[in-house]
Amino acid sequence: MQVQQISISEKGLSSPLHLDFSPDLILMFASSKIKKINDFANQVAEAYPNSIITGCSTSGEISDEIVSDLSVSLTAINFEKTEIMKAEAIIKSMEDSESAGKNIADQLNQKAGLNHIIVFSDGLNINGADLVNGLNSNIPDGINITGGLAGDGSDFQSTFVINNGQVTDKLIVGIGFYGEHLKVGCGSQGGWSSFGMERKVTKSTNNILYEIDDKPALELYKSFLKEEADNLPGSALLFPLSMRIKEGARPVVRTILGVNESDQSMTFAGNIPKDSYVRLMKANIDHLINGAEESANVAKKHIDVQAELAILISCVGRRLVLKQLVEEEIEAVKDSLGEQTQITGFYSYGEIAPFGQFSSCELHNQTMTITTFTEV
Amino acid sequence: MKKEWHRLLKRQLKKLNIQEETLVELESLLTQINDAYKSYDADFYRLENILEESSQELFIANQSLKKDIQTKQVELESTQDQLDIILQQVKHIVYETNEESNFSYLNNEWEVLTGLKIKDCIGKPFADFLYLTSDDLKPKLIEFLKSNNDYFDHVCQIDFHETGKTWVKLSFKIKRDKHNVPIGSVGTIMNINELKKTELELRESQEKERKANNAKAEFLSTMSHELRTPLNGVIGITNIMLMEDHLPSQVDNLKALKFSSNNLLGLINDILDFNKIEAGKIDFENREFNINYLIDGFNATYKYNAAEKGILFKIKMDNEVPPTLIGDSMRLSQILGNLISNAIKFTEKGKVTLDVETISETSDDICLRFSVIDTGIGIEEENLKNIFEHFKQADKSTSRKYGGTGLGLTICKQLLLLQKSDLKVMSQFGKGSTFYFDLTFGKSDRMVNSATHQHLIEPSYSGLGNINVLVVEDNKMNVMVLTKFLNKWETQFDVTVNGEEAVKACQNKVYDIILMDIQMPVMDGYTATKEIKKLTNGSEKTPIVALTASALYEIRQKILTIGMVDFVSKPFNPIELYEVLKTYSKA
Repeated sequence: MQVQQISISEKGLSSPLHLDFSPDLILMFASSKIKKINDFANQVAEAYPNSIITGCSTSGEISDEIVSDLSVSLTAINFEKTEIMKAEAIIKSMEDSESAGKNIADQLNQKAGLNHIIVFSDGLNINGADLVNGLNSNIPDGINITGGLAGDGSDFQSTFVINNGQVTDKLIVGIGFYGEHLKVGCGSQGGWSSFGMERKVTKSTNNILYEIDDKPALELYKSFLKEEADNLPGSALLFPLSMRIKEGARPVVRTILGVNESDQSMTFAGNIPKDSYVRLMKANIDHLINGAEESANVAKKHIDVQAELAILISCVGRRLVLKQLVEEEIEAVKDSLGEQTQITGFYSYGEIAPFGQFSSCELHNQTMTITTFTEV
Repeated sequence: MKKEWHRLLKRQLKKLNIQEETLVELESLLTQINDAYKSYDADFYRLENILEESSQELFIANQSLKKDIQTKQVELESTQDQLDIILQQVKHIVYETNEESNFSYLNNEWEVLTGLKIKDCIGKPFADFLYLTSDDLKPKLIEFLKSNNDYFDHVCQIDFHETGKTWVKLSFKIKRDKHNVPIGSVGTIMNINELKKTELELRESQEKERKANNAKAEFLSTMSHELRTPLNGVIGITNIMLMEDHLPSQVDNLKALKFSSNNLLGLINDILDFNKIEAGKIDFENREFNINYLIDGFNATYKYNAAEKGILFKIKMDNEVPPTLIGDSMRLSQILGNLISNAIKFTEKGKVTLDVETISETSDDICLRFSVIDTGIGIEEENLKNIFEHFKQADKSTSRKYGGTGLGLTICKQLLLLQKSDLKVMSQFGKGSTFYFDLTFGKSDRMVNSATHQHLIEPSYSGLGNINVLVVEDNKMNVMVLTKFLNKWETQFDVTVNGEEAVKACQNKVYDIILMDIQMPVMDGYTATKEIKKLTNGSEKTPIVALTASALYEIRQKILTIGMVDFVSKPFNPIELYEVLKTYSKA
C-alpha cells in the first residue's frame, strides 16, 4: 500500500498535480471557501482517469499534523491487494436520507468481500441519523462504516461532495473496500461531558426540537449561550446536547445545524425523538485532547499492526473550543499512532463510526473519529 | 523555548518560527505571558471544577427528585385506585367536572341511575345531562353562579330518558385554585325517590289529619252554637222566674237551675274558645282601655261570689299604673276572670287576692304582673306540671268535687303564650296557690271611659220610665225573655222579627233605643243598622245596641264601626241589659 499526503494551498491549486504513483483512490478535503475547486477536481480527474476521486468540503483541513483553512488536503492511495468501488446517491430532500444510505449500501454490497465502507455526505441537506440507519440496514454484520458530513467552516451555508471531476451538494459518495488484506481500525471519542439536569424532550419531529420540559427549546438554549447567542448556529457547537433515547441507553452527542426564531426550534444533525432525555454538554481543552488520544488508542487496538494511513474526521465544534490549540489533538493522535502513520482528514458537521468494535454505526457529533488503514 | 512553558505559548511561538536568540531576548516578556496563561488556566479549571461539582449535585438532586415524583406518582395512582374502588361502591353518583364544566369523573352509579354509559359522558358538559332535563334546576344554578357561594344543594326531579323521572338531591362544591379561580366541581347525586315517596305519603296523611281535625273543630263549633240557643232560653226563663213571684220553696231549685245552666254555658264557651285557639284563629286587639274600670269590674263581680262562700276578695294595685293602657282588655279580662273564679272555687276559707304590680316601664310601654293569690286547697307538686294540660285538673277527685272541664287554665295559658307571655303557678298543697303572668301594654295619655260593662252595683230594677224600645229579634224564646224583662221594667216596646221590618218600624216611629239581633233572616242586623242610619226622620240618631251570641271580642270592632253603640251578649244577663237600657235611652 502506497500513500502520498499533500497539502495544497489555494495558490498551489493552479499548478498541475504530480503524484509519485498512479493511485487507486484520491481523497480530497477542501475548504468550502476555495473558488477554483471545480477546476481543480476536473484537472485531477483528467490527470488520473483511473483513480476514484472523492472527498468533501470542510471546516478545516487536516494534513499530517497541520490544520489549515483555504487549502486542499489531498491523499493518494494505491492498494496492493485491496479492491475498491465507489457508489453514489443523490438526495433531493432530507426525507431521502435513509433511502440514499440504503442505496449506497446496496450498491457496495453487490461486490463480494466487502470489508469496510467510507462515506462522505452533504453536510446540510441531510438527516445524518437517517442516512446511517439506511447504510446499516443492508450491510452484513461485522462491516464497519466510517465517514463524515461535509463542513462549511462555522457558517452552515453550503457544503459539497467531490465525485471524481464533479463537485456538488445533495450528494453522498460511498467507497467500498474489499478483501481481507486491508486491516481497518476505528475509534470515535469525544471528551465532552454533560452538566446540569437531564431534561425531557416534550415536542419534536425527527431532527427538529421544539420543546424541552414543555418550554421552547431555543429560549432555554439561548439562556446558556448569553452573548454567544448572536452567533447562532455556529456558537451552538460550543454547547452540544447529550441525548439518550430512554433511561439506561447510551447517550449520543447531537450538534445543532440551524435555529428557527419564529417557532423557537432547533434543527440537529441527527434525530431527537420525543420523550428522549437531553443534557447540555461542555468541553475543556484537556478533555478534548485526551479524547482524541483515546480515539486513536481504540483504533489502534482494533488492529495489531502499525497503521499506514489514518483518516481523521473531527467535529467543527472541537475546533471552535480548541481554537489555536486545535493541532494539539492531531498531535495527540499522531503520538499515539506513531510517526510512520500518514494523516489526513477534516473538520466536519458530523461523524459516522461504530460506538465500539462490534456495534453498528452511529452518527456522532463532537468526536474525533479515526479510521486507520493497513494492508497486510 | 522552555519546555515548561504553557502549550499555547509554545504553539504560538512555533507558528511564528522565531529564532532562538530572539526568544532569549524576549524571555522576561514570555515568562510573564506564560504566567498569565497558566494562571488563567488555573482559574478556568477551578471554575470548571466548581461547575462540575455543582452540576453533579444538581443532577443527582434532580434524579432523586424524579425518583421521588415517580414513587409518589405510583403511590398516588394506588391511592386513586383505592379511592376509585370506594367510589364505585358508593350508592350515590359521585362526579367531578373540569373548569369547562365537563364531566371528568363519574362512578358506576351514574350508569345505574341514568342508564347512560360513563365513557359516553366523560368530557361532555354537565349541563347536557342535568339541567336540561329539569325545569327548575337551570334558574337555580344560574342564581347560584351569580352568588359567591361554593356549596350548592338542590332537590329536583330529573328526567333521564333511559330510566325515567327520578327525584334526586344534587349537591356539589366548587373547586378553586390558589388564586381562588374556579377550576371545576365535585358533587354527588343522590337518588331520593323512596324518600320523596315517603315524604309525599306523610304529607298526604298529615293533610288528612288536618282535614279531620278541622271537621272535628267545625262540629264542636256548630254543636256549641246549637247548644247555646236552647240554653239561652233556659237561663232567660230562670232569670225571669227569679224576678217574678215564685213560691219560697222554689227559690233553691231556681238558684240551682241558674247555677247549673250558667255553668253549662261557661263550659260551652270554653270549648268554643279552645277550639279557636287550636285552629289558630285568635287575633288580639290593640286598643286603649281603662285598667281601673276593668279592675273595679272584677271587684263588683267577685266580691259577692266570694262573700257567698264566706271568703274575702281583695284587690291590690300599684298607684303608678297609668289608668289608660293599650292592649286587648277583653282577653285580659277573660284570663283574669278565669283565674279569679277558679281561685274562689277552690278556696274554702281565707281570701283571694288580685295583685297588679309594675315590673318594668319605658316611655312607651309598661309591663305589669298580674297575680291571683288564694288560700285554697293548693296543688300537690306532682300535679303541678299537669294542670295546664287539656281537660286536666289536679286530680280526678277535684273534678268530682268542684266540677269544670279543666279547659280554663289551658285557654288562659294559650292566650298568654300567643301574646308572648306565659302563665305560671306556685303552690303549696293545703296552703294555697298563686297564678301569675306578665303582660306588656302600650301607654297612653288619653283618658277613656271603658266600653266594658261596669257592674258596680246590684241594680235596683226600678222602672225605666216612659221609654220606647224597638226589639229586633227572630228567636221566639229570646223575644219572650226580653218581653218579660221589658214589661217588668215598665217600658214601651215594639217587636220586629227581622231587619227589614225594623227599618220599616223606624220609618214610622222614632224610638229611644233599638235592641238589634245580628243574625236574622231576610235582613241581618248590620244591614238594618246601616239602613236606619240613612233615615232622616230622627231615627238615624237612635242608639242601636247589638244583641249577640258571638264572642264579643270578635265582633265588637265591626259593631262599633257601623255605628252601633254597644252590645248585650246572649243569654241575657238582666243586669247587663238593664244597665244598657238605662244608659242609652237617656242619652
